[in-house]
This record gives sequence, structure tokens and C-alpha cells, in this order.
Amino acid sequence: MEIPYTVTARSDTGLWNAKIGIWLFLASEVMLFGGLFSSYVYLRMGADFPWPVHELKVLPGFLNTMNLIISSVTVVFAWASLKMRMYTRYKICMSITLACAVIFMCIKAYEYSGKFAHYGVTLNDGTVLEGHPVDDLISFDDVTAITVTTATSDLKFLNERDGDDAPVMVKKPLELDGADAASDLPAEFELDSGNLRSIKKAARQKELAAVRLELTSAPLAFNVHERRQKGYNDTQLTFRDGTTLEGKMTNDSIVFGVDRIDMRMTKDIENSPFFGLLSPEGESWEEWKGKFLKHYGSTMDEFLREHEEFDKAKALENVEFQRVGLRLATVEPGSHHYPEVVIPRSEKRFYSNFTPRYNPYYAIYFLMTGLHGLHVIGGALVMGYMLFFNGWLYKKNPEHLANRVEVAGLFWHFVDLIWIFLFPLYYLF
Amino acid sequence: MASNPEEIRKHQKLYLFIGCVLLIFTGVTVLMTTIDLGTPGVGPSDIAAGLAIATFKSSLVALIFMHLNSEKKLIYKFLLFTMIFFAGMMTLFVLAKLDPITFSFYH
Repeated sequence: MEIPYTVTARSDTGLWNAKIGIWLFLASEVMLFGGLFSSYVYLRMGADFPWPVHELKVLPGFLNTMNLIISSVTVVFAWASLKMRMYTRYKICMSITLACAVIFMCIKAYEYSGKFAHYGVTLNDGTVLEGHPVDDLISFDDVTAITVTTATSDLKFLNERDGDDAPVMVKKPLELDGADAASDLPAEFELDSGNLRSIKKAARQKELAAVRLELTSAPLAFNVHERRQKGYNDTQLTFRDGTTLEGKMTNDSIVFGVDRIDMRMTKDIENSPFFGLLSPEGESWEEWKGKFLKHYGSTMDEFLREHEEFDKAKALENVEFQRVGLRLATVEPGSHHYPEVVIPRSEKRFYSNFTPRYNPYYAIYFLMTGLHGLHVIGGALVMGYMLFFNGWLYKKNPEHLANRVEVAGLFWHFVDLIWIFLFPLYYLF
Repeated sequence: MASNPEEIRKHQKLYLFIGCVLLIFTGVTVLMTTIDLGTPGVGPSDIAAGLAIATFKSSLVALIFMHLNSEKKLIYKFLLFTMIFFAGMMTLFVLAKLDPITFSFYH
């Protein structure tokens, strides 16, 4: 049975099926993105930290906006070409649209990767250091016992070992005595995946949540990446999978290449403990205090010259002055020789790369642009299908293909329309 | 909405023109960030102006590229309801930040 109204319109509504379908879908999309734009407004109005403005490079966003506008023109031309039965021109226009989609995603990937590689450390006094970690590993030595959890532990933690890959030998735990699954284990055995499976099975039989394994081989040393650990103190370190090491924490400082000092949230700039920290060579950051205060003073003078209606107190409350005057870039644009600082973990309040967990700005930025990116991919896939696999439909019924392209085009214009708002909100204002 | 080939042929110039207008106004929005509108840096007037241009651009996309300047009644009905719910949702979010006694926004 042939489905009616796929090509011709119903006489009462004047519309064909897919046209109604896409508009209902777009209506739901308006509510979806509307909710996210509302969340953006809510987060921005209620932010308890300086809302990042001009944090994203304008050029990639600008190029992507141009790119989407051009693709909007080409997709409408693709539809017009089909209506005029110009199939070759349709294919050219559709190919340009797809190329624009690919370029859009490449630029987005470039932007995202830049953010993922950029870190921020918030110190206890509110000072934020932005830059790149040089060494943020937690050194844990003299490990003589490992506790594995029955539910979640695996052997990935051994990849964080420092030094040789010699087998890790452990003593058979006494609490597993009597469990069938542990009956084949000798008194001393290698901690490999097969034996770990037996240990976990035996622990389940004995209803144990975790099993402590004492090492019989030489004590181990670990260099654990920040994101791998769940918590630690001087004598214990727990991985995210629940595996716990018993040993001695020997170094947990972060060596950090600083590209920007942000003191907008610092309680007392003059006496910030940040300036008391040292570089890996032992040089004091005290000299940066002079640089920072000089920058602050000259920015203030310039600001008051440009805005005669402001006095010093009023300028200090101004978001733009804070943005420019209370932040100092430590290197010239384009330079990659960042001054380094050694930050003890005890001085750190928060440490993350610029991902959704960094702050609500990045959370909503990645959510909205990520969802928008998924729409770009979805639209490109549909249009790619029409371009490469719908030639037969053109031969059978060109009007049907024109209707399909119109529906895909409507979706594509909507994607462009959303970006038209995302661009100024995130990149410009 | 144009449906016969002859009308569509005539509309092509309009599509190109609108594309150019959109590109130009994108440039204008970027240039606006270099101008102070009342407050130093980004103030409410800057955001309002930026969003006004974005609204104008998106209207052009909706009216010309999406053919909402000459669509069927049923589509307009869908969109009317969508706009009502959309406006309601935005208002609820903004009201959540409004102090009902002083009628000022929480900070």
C-alpha cells in the first residue's frame, strides 16, 4: 500500500506529511533549546564568580557563523535546483553544504581540544592560575599492601606504576581460607587478571566487600595521575575503582606553567600566599607581585583616563576593569615559555581543565554547543544520505526528493538559527 | 511559498541577497564589541544590541529561507503555541531571580 500525501499536499491542510512532521519536530526543538537558553540566563544572572566574557577566541566562532550562513544559502539553492529539475546543480549545492558541515565540526573540534588542554588551579585564597600542568602526578612509594574491592577493582592501577614491570607477588589472604574459588591459589602468587578474578570470586563467596593483599615482592612505587585518584593521605591512596594502596606519599605538588594570573576572587591581593610560592628552580614568585601591582596600577590609570565619570572605588567594582586590571597574562601572545610554579596540594582548592566541571559557564557552553554540534552531525548525515543514496528517487519522482530536501533544509536552517544566538552569547558578550 | 519553477528562479536572487545581509550583520555584531554602549566592557545595552541583531538575522532565516513569509495556516498555529510556551518558560526562569517585594533581581 502506498502512503498518501508524501508528495502531494492534503487538500484541507495544504501540507504533505513530512512538512507537518518537521514543523512539529522543530517546535519541540524550540522548547529544548529554549530550556537551555533559559538555563544560560539563569546561570549568568546568578553566577557567584566572574562570568567569563571574551574567553573564547572570536575568530573560530566568527568563521563558523559565516560557514553556517553560507551552508544555509547552499541548502536552499539545492532545494531550488531540484524544483527546477537541475540535478547536477543540486548535487554541487548539497556537496558544498556538507563540506560546510565538516568544516564547522573541524573548527569546533579545534576549539574543544584547546579547552581540554587548558587548566585552571584555584588556590585557597581565591587566586586562579590558568595554564598547563607540567607535572601533576602524585608520587606514592613503599607500597607494601593493596586492598582490592570485590565489586569494582581491576588491574588498570598497575599502569600507574613507576619503574619496572616485574610481576607483583602477593600473599594469599587468610580471610579467603575455606572459599572454594580460592582453593587453587598457592600461598604466594602473582597478581594477574586470572588470580584477581579468583580472589574477587572467593571474596563474594565469603561476603567480603574488599580484600587486603600483602606484597611479598619488593615494595612498589606509583606516580598517579590526578584524575585516576579518588582520595589520598600520607599513608593511603585510593583509585577511582576503589583499589587502595598502603605506602608513603612522597610528593603531591603540582608543577604548573602559568599563562595567566587571575586575582578577581582573591581576598587580599597584596598578601596572597601565591606570591610566596616557588618555581621548580627555587625562584620566588614575589617578583610577580611587583609586575601584577604595576599592571593593576597602569590599567587603573588608563581606565580612569578613558572613563572620566569613574573614580577608583567605582572602577574597582566595574566588571570590565576587573577583567582587564585584575588579571595578568604572564607571556606574550603566541609564546609557549610559561613561567612555572610549584603548588603544594594543600594550597589548592580546585584543579581542573576547562571542561564542564570547571565552572557553570563551561558546563552550559559544552552542553549547548555540544548539542548543537550533534544537530550538525545529524543534519549532515541525513543530507549525505540524500546526496549519495537518493539518486533513484530523483529518477522515479523528482518532486518527492525535492520534498525530502526541503524537510532536511528546514532542519538545517533551524540549526543555523540556533547558532546565530549562540555566537554572540558565548563569543561576544 | 514559491512552488513553481519560474517563481523559484526569481527567488534565487533574494536568497543570495539575504545570505549577504546575514554575513554583513555577523560582521556588524563582531564590530559592536569594540564600541562602548554606556558601560565599559559588556553591559546590558551591549547584550541587548547583540541579541537584537541576532533576532533580526534569525527572523530573516525563518521568513525567507524557511519560507515562513508565506506558509500554510496550520504551521502558523503550531508556531503560535510554541511561542506562547517558549515565552512562558523564559518568563518562569527570569521570575525565579525576581524579588517579589522589591521587584528587583537577586544577585
